[in-house]
Amino acid sequence: MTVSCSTEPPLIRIENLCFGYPGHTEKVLDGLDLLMAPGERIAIMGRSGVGKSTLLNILALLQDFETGDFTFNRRKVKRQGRRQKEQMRSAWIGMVFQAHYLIPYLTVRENVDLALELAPRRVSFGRAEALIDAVGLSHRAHFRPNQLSGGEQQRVGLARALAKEPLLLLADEPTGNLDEETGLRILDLLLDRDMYRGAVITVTHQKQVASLFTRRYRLAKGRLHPLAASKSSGVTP
Amino acid sequence: MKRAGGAFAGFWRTRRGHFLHARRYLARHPAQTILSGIGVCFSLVLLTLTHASRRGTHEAMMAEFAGLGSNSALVYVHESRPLPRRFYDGLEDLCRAREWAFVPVFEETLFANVSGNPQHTRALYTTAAFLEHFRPVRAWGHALRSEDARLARTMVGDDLARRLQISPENPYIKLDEEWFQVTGTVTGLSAGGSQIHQFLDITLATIVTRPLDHLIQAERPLKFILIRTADRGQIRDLQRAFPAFLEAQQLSALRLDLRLPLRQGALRARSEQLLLAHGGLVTAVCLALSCLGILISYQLQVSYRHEEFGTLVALGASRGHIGWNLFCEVLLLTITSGGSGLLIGITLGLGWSWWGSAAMSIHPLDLAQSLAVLTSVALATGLVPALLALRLNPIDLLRLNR
Repeated sequence: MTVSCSTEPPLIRIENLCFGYPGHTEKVLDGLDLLMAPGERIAIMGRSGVGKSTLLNILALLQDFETGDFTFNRRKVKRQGRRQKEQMRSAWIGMVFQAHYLIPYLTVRENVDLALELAPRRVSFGRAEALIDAVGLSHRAHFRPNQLSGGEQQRVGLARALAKEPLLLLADEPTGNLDEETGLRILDLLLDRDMYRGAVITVTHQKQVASLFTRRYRLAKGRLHPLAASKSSGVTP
Repeated sequence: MKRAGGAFAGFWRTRRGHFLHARRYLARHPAQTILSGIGVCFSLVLLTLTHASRRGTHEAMMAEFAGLGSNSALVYVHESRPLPRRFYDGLEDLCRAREWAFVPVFEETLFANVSGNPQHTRALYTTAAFLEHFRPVRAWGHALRSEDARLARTMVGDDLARRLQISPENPYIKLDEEWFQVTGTVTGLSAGGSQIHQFLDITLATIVTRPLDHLIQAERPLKFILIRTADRGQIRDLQRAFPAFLEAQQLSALRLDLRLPLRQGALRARSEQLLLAHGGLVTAVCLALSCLGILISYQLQVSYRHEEFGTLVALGASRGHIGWNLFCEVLLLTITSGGSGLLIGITLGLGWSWWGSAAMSIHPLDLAQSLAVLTSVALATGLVPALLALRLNPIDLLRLNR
């Protein structure tokens, strides 16, 4: 099932994508379709083991798929070599995890700078400062991760993921380790268009988190099934 | 040169980030960095001191020899037991009678020979020039059989040969547990060789197997006599016996030369090469063990830093990038530790030379050689974790982050 709500050239076009692990007859992803415009925000829900992480790996250009068509920013992924995929991932894709996974021996500022150092295209290092300020941690820029609270660490993780201005941000349970209030603050930042204009795909188990996204899917039987638009959504994708 | 400079500048531009990251990692894990690098540091201290000692001793000895005139003599006593008083008296008489200046040179060995012990003959490995000068008389010769190739070959003095009843038909002698094949006999004061001759490249020297008797009976005019002793008591005896000499030389004490604390039986080549090889071997073993330690440490790190590497992958780093990070870390760690060792070695060498009695000489060529060794080792050591990083699976790394 292909769903699109934009007339712009799509950022992601996936058609009939299949993937199965060697030695397993059942496909994890079986005929999956997805169409996503630049700047769109999507939430994907699903039971454990249904293939959400596999889908994220494929979207992050880390995992090869078996059949189907996957176009990312007008480039056919199947035709790209390992180095090209690394370059695409480095330039266009950001990732946020359930745990913050900051580099423990770097300060907040250095953690964010690291993302800029790894970015293939030149991004002003002033952006790191602006992002740290935007997530409200400018007064802790020289702190190490172990000197921050869980919510602060996740905010740094978010700032770091957004530093290189990726076209697509993949978020795997970004609020899974946080209390409700802190989680909502992180989501506010994640979905704040002033802070980040790119596309977001988040994987979550939390209905409350998914409800903040206008496009929501359930991953089941190897395919994405659209869920009804949330009435309580206060965020415009 | 310009091209090399340009290549280096290009390399630095592209890899600067890796080195900065490596510097941050090492600086913020001081205990781990020090523990990992201490072995390399120690190895370089050892290497620097070995070089300094070798060169310093050589220079000091050459300076002494340069000061010897035609009537000079160096006394070399091939003896490990304290010599009787009559030896020193006789030596003094001899020196006076022949108008020899007397400059003792000492060398402490662990297994020096004992007078009258057939082991004397093991000193008879010498240079061709030395043999040519003294033209030792071979009572007979005997070609080694191929199956005897592993036997140590030696020559013995004619007195000893008579005592042991050595003949061409019975050329084998056993010393302790080691067999020797006697390839010839030498007469009186004829040529012998030892590492000290070869080290100094002296062609006019002799070994005194029965010191006093041979000195007195010698018909050959001696230019050098070397004293070699394993006994510190002998040095004290000599100091007592030759106060005038010490005064003339403005020496407060005789020098005990510790250059060659090696088993004589193990010496088969020139001493300089051997000493270098000895120091080099110890250093090589230390360096190899240290690098092995670093490699083991980094192999473990590749495992327990999965979280960090996964984060780097999530930020867009390739496996090659992680490999370069590790390579630069090990390179920086090894070079910094080795560089510190070099500086400590230089300081210790200079301090030792200044405050102690050891002759030490720090030479830029030796330092350059040490740096070259260090750089090669660092590059080789850094390569292994880098290659390990290339085998990391990015999906596994990211899986840990979920």
